Amino acid sequence: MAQTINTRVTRTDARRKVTGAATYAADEIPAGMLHGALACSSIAVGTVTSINTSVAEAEPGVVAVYTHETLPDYKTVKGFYAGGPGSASFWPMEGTEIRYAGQPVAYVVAETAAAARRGADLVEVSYEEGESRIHMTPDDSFVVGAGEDSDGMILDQGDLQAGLDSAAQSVDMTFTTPFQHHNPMEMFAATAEWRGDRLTVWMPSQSVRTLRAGIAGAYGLPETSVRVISSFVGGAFGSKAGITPYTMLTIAAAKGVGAPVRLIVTRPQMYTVATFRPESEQKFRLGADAEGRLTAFEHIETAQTSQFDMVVNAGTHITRAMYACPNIRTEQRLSRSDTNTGGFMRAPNEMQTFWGLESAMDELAWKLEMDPVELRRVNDAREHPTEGVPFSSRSLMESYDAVAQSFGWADRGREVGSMTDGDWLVGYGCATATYPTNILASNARVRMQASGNAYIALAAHDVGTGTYTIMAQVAAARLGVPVEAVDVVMGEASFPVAPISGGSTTAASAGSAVHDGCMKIAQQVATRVSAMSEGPLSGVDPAQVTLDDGTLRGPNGQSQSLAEALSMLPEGEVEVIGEFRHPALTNELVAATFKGGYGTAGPVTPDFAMFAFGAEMAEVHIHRYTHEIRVPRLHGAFAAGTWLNRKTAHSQLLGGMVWGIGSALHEVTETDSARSRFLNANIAEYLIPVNADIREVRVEMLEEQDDYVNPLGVKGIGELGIVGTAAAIGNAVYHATGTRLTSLPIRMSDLVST
Amino acid sequence: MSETPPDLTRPGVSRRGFLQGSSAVAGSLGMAVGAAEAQQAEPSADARTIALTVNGTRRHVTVEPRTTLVEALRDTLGLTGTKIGCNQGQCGACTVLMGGTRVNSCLTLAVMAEGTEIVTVEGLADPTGDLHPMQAAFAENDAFQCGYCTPGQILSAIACIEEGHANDAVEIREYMSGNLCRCGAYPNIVAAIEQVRDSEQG
Amino acid sequence: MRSFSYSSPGQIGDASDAARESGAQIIAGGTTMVDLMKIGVIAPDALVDINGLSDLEGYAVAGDRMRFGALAKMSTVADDPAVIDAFPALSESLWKAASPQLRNVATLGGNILQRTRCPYFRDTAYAQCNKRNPGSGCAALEGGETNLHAILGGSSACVAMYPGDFAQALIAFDAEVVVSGAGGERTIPFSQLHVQPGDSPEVETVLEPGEIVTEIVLPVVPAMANSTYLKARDRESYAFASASAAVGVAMDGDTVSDVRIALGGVASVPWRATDAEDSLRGQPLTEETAREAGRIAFETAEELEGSAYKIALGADVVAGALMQVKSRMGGE
Repeated sequence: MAQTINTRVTRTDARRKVTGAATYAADEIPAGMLHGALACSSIAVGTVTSINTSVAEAEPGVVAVYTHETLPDYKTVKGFYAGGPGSASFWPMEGTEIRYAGQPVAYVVAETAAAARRGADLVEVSYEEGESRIHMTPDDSFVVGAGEDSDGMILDQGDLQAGLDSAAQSVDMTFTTPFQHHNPMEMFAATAEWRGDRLTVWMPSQSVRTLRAGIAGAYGLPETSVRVISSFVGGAFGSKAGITPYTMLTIAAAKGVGAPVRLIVTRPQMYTVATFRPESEQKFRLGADAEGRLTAFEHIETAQTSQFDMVVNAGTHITRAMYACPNIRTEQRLSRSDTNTGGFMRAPNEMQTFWGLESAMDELAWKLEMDPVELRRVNDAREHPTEGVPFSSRSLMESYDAVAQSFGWADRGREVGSMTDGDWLVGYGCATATYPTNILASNARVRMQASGNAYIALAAHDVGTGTYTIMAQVAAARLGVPVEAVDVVMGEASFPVAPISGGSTTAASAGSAVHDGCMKIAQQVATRVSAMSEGPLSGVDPAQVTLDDGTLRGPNGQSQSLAEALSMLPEGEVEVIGEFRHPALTNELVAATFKGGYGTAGPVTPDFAMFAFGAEMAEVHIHRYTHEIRVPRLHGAFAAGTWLNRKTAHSQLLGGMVWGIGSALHEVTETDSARSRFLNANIAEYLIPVNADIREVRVEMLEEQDDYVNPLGVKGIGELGIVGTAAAIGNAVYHATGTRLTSLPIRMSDLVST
Repeated sequence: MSETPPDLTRPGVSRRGFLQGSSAVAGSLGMAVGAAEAQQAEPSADARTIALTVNGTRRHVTVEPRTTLVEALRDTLGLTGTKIGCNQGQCGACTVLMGGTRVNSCLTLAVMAEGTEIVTVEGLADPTGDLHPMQAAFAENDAFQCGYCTPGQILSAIACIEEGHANDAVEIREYMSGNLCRCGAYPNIVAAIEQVRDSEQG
Repeated sequence: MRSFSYSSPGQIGDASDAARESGAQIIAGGTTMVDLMKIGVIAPDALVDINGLSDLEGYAVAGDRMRFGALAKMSTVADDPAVIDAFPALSESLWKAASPQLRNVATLGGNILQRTRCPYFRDTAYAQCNKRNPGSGCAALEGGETNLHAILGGSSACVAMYPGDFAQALIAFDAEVVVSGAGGERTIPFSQLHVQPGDSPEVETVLEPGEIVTEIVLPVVPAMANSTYLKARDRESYAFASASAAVGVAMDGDTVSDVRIALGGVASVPWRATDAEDSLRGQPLTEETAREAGRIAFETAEELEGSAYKIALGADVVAGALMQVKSRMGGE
């Protein structure tokens, strides 16, 4: 068989994606479907005093206008941060209370999308407005869970002050990151169709089982009465993880009008009806001896959260795993302001914190007059600095060495401002990338036929990550069939349990379940053919039969292909449920996942700390007249265990690095502090990189073996590429200009005086 | 993004064209709802049937003047391969070829496309199922991840070469910048276009 | 989007008559019109589609006057080798704007009349916008953010910025626009087409109801051939200018005999920097004189919080554009 793992395999869904045949949620048009539209609040805080729907109702084509008073049978669920499946704990249209700008206040159903949106424009709402504040105030912040269950939210190890006092050089720096919005290209959408007590929901989702469990629970229906379908997802990045109000409103509206309803949330509304990356402040105090060895490490992260949820994306838990240091202090704080609840956005714990940490490390290196790569090297940790367990594998310095070679790090000017290219100032910068290896339970149904065809079903998702393809590859490799012979279906809640497509977990967890399914098929087939009176494996102890690239091998050289063995069975096929249950998964965690939740173990287990690592190097050009900042070269080297598909993995890492460029130079949700609204709620003024911004981006994929993380040896890579990129670029800006910028994004306006 | 308005009359003069404030102002900051000119009577829907040639087939669709081309393609003709990514001309996901040139179908009123020839992603592969070279190059070069912007990217890429704006990578990047890809597949998109360009020249 | 009636007259007189009706708006490319209608900023009763007036699609750059039909497409003109050769700033101001898809339908006439990107103008949740809702106030100046706003030509009623690029190339080179309306045809200096906000920001141009821009005319001068449009923006493409400059230079030996400087991304209307031009005329073109011209161009700028950085940025962009032209002339 041709190699199907650790090679470049074209996506099995590529044809569907290039022909327009891949169906995203809003492409499903059930018969008799009507169109929904949201009307959203203009104020941020206050109460609705009256709503006049008569004008909207008179609009031709409008079928119904629902408000908090008239929407029938509207159900809500608990928020994620309260242990539920919802994107937030506060639900709009349950009453008159307004708690964030852009909160849905009315839902219009009409015969066409245009009429629905027009109807929404015509809903007249009066408010009593209260005081509001959109930005957090770090001075008015608090530690999550302090006193009772701090869960490591404050960690104090060694003697920080002594470490600072003894340092040859130290830095004390504060960094900030802004509100950012995921802006997947696919707009949020939900289509709901009721048939009696049976409900079908099409929507782009990172967790169809979370949706189904939550919706069924809310309506008191058995899960078997609820179908949730998400065959293709047009990008998610964390924005499509929980159950959002627009989904539950659409379900209720469809029930109200007695017809299927599809809502496509407008791009501006996408900024307020779902989650976002909260703004944050990152305070670092680092001390090092003359050789660069860290003597003190303090990181205090303060992140914004809503008035009604505590969004804890514990970045300090990641930063403190990076470098060896005897004296470590970290603190995880929150500060409230008047927005909807934020959530996960690609590397939710890491993007912001590594902007701070890796910029501070660079500053420390300059103070020490040390190569910043060497600073990382002398502080490279073989065991987790605060958890006392070894890393299951850690290829940080291998990554630095590889990227330094590909990038030409040695050629950099040693002084600030020492490199130019025509009218451009030139700078080089580097930074560490990492991402924790999270583990979730997963099942997968695997069937193989004597014909050589195999079928896989599981409730996983393809959010662009290549899941359809890599599941087929894992099965093809084990079963000894071509990738094209493996049919994979996903994105339906009724399929076997698979984890949420978040935290970079699907390939490792669901892939391991597929692997297990293949091994079980082999075991079952071996048991049956060994009991037969004829055949190559007749009489062999099935416990000693192994599976090798689709061939069953007995202990004494007996062998038979799996397909041949299957043909000896009267059924001609075997179907099993593959399972992945890592030893670190407790019963509680498994139960959480099987109830539609997020039962994750790792990155630290009693035995190991599990992280993927990488290093990035950026070349930045800054124009001496326009002050435009461009990135002609960005190189990254990464090690993340086994590469299942070198083509799709490369794309994921590349995409992460492109996101990093966006975070560094473009992305910020602008705010109107006076009225607590997001100002650039579109994708013309909320800048994300365009094709012209992305020049040479090189991805080096290093070999790494890790037998502990899972049977495939796979670490998640969906988020790894973005981590550290902003700091690499910021450090290059410093190298070029001598200006140390501490707030993202870095823009012309920051450099206009240089 | 929409830097160029079409209204050649004096902007701002026709005040009936503007929102007329709100009767429902409330709150200390004077914020108002957006439903402004509600009191005015609406003109009649003025629906009409127009003819379009879509992927080589003449089609008749009944639309309101306000129906956009992408709505007509997706909701009336069922051609859901064309995607809506912003509905405001800011992302290029809805790109189709109209009369041979690439346009954003979300900012094109269907009535203004009357009589034109439209090509969508569904019209690219030949009837036997063989992919258009650009489709094949996108697949081979992994020029997408989630695939949502892909129909628009492919049509834009075909036009990019056709227009003569694919002479080198710098030019391709500039002339493909009207198609956002949030997955960040840009270098692979450029590689796919270069591959097709070179094969056409070869 | 509100419902409206639609017509597509074949004669300019009929189009003008239809556009003069109360609540009527002309539509050509539709790239801004449809956008603004979708977000509820404008809600016309009737759209008058003038794409049938094919006489207005032509253009000519030969001779002593360049003429551009109002319905010529941005992409067509930008890509024309004759335009690129004769008037590079004009081509650059077109292709550095918007996206290929938008430029394929957007017309030159529509381009010059594009509306501001002020977020308060575009978000109808804000009651306060003197431009959209005369007399309601200005949310930007009343405690709002002003980082996308005009530091030149604004008023206490409105600091919305004119976002276009092409207009800078026109105003720098003394363009005129020909308009057709009920009173027949008239010619307006481009510099007088747009009106600063003053107390009436809702009035953006001097066009009368029903008047249609039919043609843009430019006298050909030597500085056109030595011109450039430099556009500074955080994103490499498909982004509005943070600051931009259209400049052109003609030299008489070592000294500047003619110079044109217009500013984008910084002003309420297309902006000609005549004082800066005056400072250069008769002087050698050096980094020092170029930077001095840039400084002078922003001498009268308001230090608007949020956009104050544009004073230094704009000055540097002017200097950069002048040095780019010098370099192209082989003056280095």
